[in-house]
Amino acid sequence: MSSKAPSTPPARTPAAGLVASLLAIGLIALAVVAVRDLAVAQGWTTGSPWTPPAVSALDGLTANGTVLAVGGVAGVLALLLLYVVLKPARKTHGQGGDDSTDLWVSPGAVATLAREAADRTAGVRAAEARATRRSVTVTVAAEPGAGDVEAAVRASVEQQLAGLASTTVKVRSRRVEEKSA
Amino acid sequence: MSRRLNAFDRLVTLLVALGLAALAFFAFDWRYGWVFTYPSQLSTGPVTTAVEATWFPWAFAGVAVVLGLLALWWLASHARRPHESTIRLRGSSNAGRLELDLSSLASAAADRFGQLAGTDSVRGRTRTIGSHQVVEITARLDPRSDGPSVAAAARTCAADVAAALPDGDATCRVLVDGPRGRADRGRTATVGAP
Repeated sequence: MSSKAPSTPPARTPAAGLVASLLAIGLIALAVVAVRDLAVAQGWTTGSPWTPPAVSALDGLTANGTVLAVGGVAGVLALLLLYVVLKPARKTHGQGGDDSTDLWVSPGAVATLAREAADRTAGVRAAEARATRRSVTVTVAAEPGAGDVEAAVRASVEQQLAGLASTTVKVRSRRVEEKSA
Repeated sequence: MSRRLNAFDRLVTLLVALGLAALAFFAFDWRYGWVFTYPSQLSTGPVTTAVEATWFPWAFAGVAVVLGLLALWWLASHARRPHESTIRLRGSSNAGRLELDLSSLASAAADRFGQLAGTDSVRGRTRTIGSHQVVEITARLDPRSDGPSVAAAARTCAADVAAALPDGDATCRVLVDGPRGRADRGRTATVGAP
C-alpha cells in the first residue's frame, strides 16, 4: 500500500509571488540605472547621470499637496500589500477519490461531468452546470409532461460523480412551454 | 513554488508594505504635526554632497549590481519547479548504482491514465511538495467520460507508482481539469437548446 503524499491542495501562485516578481524587476532596473550612471561618470558613454538630479529635485520640498498625495498613495499601496501578504493562495481543485488516492478535481471538471449526466437524463431538454470546490448547481430545462426531473437529474449526477468528487448536488429546473400548433 | 520561497515572498512584501506605511505616516505627520516636529523644508544637502562625490557611482553600482543579481536569482526561483529527475533505489551498492528516471515513470503513468479514463489530454511530470517526491498526472477530461472510471484510473495509477517504488520514494497525484476552451474559471457548462 503506497503512503499518500501530504495532501497539500493544488493552488495558484500566491499574489505575493507576483508582487515579489515586480519587486525583483524593480531591483534589476535600479541596477541598470546605477551601472549607467557609473558609465556616464567614467566617461564610458555620453549623457548625464540620473541620480544627482533626482536627489536635488527633493531639496526644498515642503509638506504640500503633492507630498500628501504621495503619502496617500503609499498608504493605500501599503494596505493592498498587507492584504496580499495575508491572502492565502487560491485553491484550484477540491479533494476527490478516497483515502487511498491523492486525487484532486477542478470545479470545471465537476461541472462538465454534471452537465453531461443531466443532459442524458430522460425528460431533460437542456442542461447547465456551475460548480465550486464544494458544490455543483445544475439547472435543467425539462420537457413538458416530464415527471420528477429534478430527482432524476440529481440521481444521475450523483452517480456520475460517485467516487470522484464528494460535492453537494443542487438541481433547479424550469419547464419548457409546449408550442401551440 | 516552494513553501520557503512563498514565505520569503510574503516577508519581503510585508517589509515593503511597512516601508510604504511609514512613508505615508511621515508624509501626513509632516503636514499636520501629530507626533513629531519637522523642518518646514526638506534639505538634501548632505545627501546631494554624497551623491555628487566621485566614489558614489562606484558604490551605488556595486550595491545595485549585487542586489540586481540577487533579484535575478529570486526571479528565476519563481520559474523553477522543484523536482528530482532520478531517484536512487535500494539495492545500490559499491558494485553499482540503481536509479529510476522519475520523468519516464511520470510519462508512463500519464499514458496509462489516459488509456483508462476518457481524457482530451494528459501529461505527467515530477514535483517536490515539501520533502516528498510526487509523480503528478494532470488530465483534461473528455466531456463524455464518467466519474467512476476516472476515480478507478487514479487508483490504478497510484498502485502502479507504488509498485514501481515500494519504498514510497515517490507517490502519485492526479489533477483532473475540465475540457480546454470552456471557462474553467467560470465553471459553467451548457448544452442543449436554451
